[in-house]
Amino acid sequence: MPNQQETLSPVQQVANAIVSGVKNGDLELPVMPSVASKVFSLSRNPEADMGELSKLIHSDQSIASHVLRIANSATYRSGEPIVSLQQAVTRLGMKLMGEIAIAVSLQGDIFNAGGFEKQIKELLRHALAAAAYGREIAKKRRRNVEGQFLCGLLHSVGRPICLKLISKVQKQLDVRLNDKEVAQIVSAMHSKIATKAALDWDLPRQLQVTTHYYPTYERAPSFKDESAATYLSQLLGHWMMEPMKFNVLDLSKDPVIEYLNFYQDDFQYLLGRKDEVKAVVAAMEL
Amino acid sequence: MTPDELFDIIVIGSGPGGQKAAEQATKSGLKVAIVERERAVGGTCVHLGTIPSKTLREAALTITTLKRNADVFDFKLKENMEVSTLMRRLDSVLQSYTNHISQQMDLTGGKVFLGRASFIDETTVLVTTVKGKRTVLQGKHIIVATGSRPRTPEEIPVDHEHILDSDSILSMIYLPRSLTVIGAGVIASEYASIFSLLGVKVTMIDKTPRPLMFMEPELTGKFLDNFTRYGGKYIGNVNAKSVEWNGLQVRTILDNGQELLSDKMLVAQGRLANTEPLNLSSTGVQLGSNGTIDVDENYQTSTPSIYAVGDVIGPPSLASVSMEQGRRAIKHIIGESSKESISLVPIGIYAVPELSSVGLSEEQAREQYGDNIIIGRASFDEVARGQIAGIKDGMLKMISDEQGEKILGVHIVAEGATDLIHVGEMAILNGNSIDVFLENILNFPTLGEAYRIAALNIATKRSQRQSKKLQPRIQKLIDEAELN
Repeated sequence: MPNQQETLSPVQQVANAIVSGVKNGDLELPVMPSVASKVFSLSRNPEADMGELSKLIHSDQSIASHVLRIANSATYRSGEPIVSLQQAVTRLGMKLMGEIAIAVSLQGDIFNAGGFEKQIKELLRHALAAAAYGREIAKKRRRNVEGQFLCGLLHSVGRPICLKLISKVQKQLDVRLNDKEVAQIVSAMHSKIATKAALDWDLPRQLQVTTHYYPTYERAPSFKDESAATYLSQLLGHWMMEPMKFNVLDLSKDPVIEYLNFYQDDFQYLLGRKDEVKAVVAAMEL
Repeated sequence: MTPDELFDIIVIGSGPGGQKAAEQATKSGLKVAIVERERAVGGTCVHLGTIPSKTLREAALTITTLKRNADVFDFKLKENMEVSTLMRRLDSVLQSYTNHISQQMDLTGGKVFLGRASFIDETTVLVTTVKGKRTVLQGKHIIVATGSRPRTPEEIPVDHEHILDSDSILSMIYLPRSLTVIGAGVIASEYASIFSLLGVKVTMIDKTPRPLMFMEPELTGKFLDNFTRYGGKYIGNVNAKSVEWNGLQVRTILDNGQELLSDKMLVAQGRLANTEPLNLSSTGVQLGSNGTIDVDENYQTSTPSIYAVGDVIGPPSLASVSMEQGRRAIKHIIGESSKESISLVPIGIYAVPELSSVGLSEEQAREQYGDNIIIGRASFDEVARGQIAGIKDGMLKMISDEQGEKILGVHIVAEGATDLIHVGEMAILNGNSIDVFLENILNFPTLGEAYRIAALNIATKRSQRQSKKLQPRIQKLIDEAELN
């Protein structure tokens, strides 16, 4: 009699393996090698500009989360927790940032999401767009933009992790899923993975909440406005990347616009920031 | 344009001034509409100003008390101090406060329209919702209570990330290590002292020689002592020549050449009246030179059907005053004008420690009553309750006329000052002599004992003046010595 695993479809096998991977805490984000190596070389250059390093760290979902996670580990934490990237750079200094970059770089299977490089690059691009739009939304609402930038950058953190896990499991099981099956697993699991990652990595509470609740912002136990702003920022990020797929009129009728009390002219203003957001994404994309 | 609905009163803005105007109007049997541009009633006071900043203040004080008693209770403060942790009571405070306001409005029968208001003419207002739905309201009278917003000086690039204003400062995700505060008014002093108490290295800069110039120098001296004790620094008589984010820190160059570097900056250099979206040009309402709405003593504008109250008419920009202005504006509309204009306004500053005053300052008293006025002081280290509660560095200053009888002003710096001031306020309003604090019983131990000590101080000086028939020149010298 065949065992249960053998009777499962490849999608189910991969999904099951990911569930157990998540249980085991196997949540590593794929790091874009170009960013990791640039952080590494910058941090070893005595002439390097700390501002440049800060900019670089802000540009990558993966590096950003690694910095927050490692900076808060017992090895590096010197007292107060590190909850923002600016704080990490200014408090830890170039030397420690360099050590963190080395730690990130030396992790076994950097960017080991074989076959999904294109998707991960698209995800990063969208995360950057959401982060940049988060900034614009926060500015318009006269709220602090630093937190909203991070919310946008890390809102979809579950997706690349999921792709990396799929890639790993595919190799282990020697199976190959098609794009539709991959999308199906990512869609079903990314939210849970993101929530677990945010908790495991001890990300600031604001990020823990918004990463989980942004699609259902009204149900968020706290940071409701920040969750709603994250939802809107990722929506605008999608629109910026694929304008043909969106009808602006429909977009303007999304309930989140009313929730955030954006009047029509405010919303038009946000749409009008498209070129600036594009410029930010282009500048940060490596 | 044909109106969709008719009202006796349309109140634009649901902050303290608008709320009280609406309440008074509905209590008077008038049909009232309240227009609010945000998604909830309450205004800046509730959502961005008074309530949130006081929530942070309470958290800072609690932490300080816990730190002070850490050894007694074997207590260790949690290191994880995200700003949201400090503000976690805010959601429930806001929820219950806005619920209360909404209930009040429901009970009194006012109809709330959420949307932006703009005047069509002096009795007609267009309300446009977030979704673009337009409703035309007509009112016999309209009260403008649209409040104010932080002023952003052109030369300072407020980005709400590194360089913040009083709207964005509380949504920071972490406590910065260092903060430069530009300004020395109420908002600047409140935030500077609160963040300093939380362990942030705060530097306040302003063109004035000391913060809170409109308060008694003795009080601000105590405030500065406390501020510097917690690591704060005040740099007066300077202007910021340039401010920039250098990629890592906020770099401020002062006009004396000094350079300041800090993680964040708070810009608190005044507020601007919210008048632009109102299309006031269609009404004939006259604006003041700084964009505020000009009103008379009844809060009526140059257009008789339109009144304005609160921050939108300019100083003193206190929620307490806005509330009374709202009530009085309605009283005037219904022909029940208050007997007296508001002459006595208590000022409350929720810095650490609190500062509060009512009546004349020493300088004003000297101008009006001459140099022979008598000053009584009580230091809180003489007050038993102050010792018990750890409030030792406060003071109460009472100013009387030269007979040592009429109370002209009371000024307090100490925790609880904003509550304690009301005793003095009532005494002034009732025309009580300073003897009322000597011939009646006050609870013991209380901070109110400070009134008795200050009154005794005046009584002693009074009797010295009466019994010692000193030559005027010697008396003057003694008085001067006492004053100093």
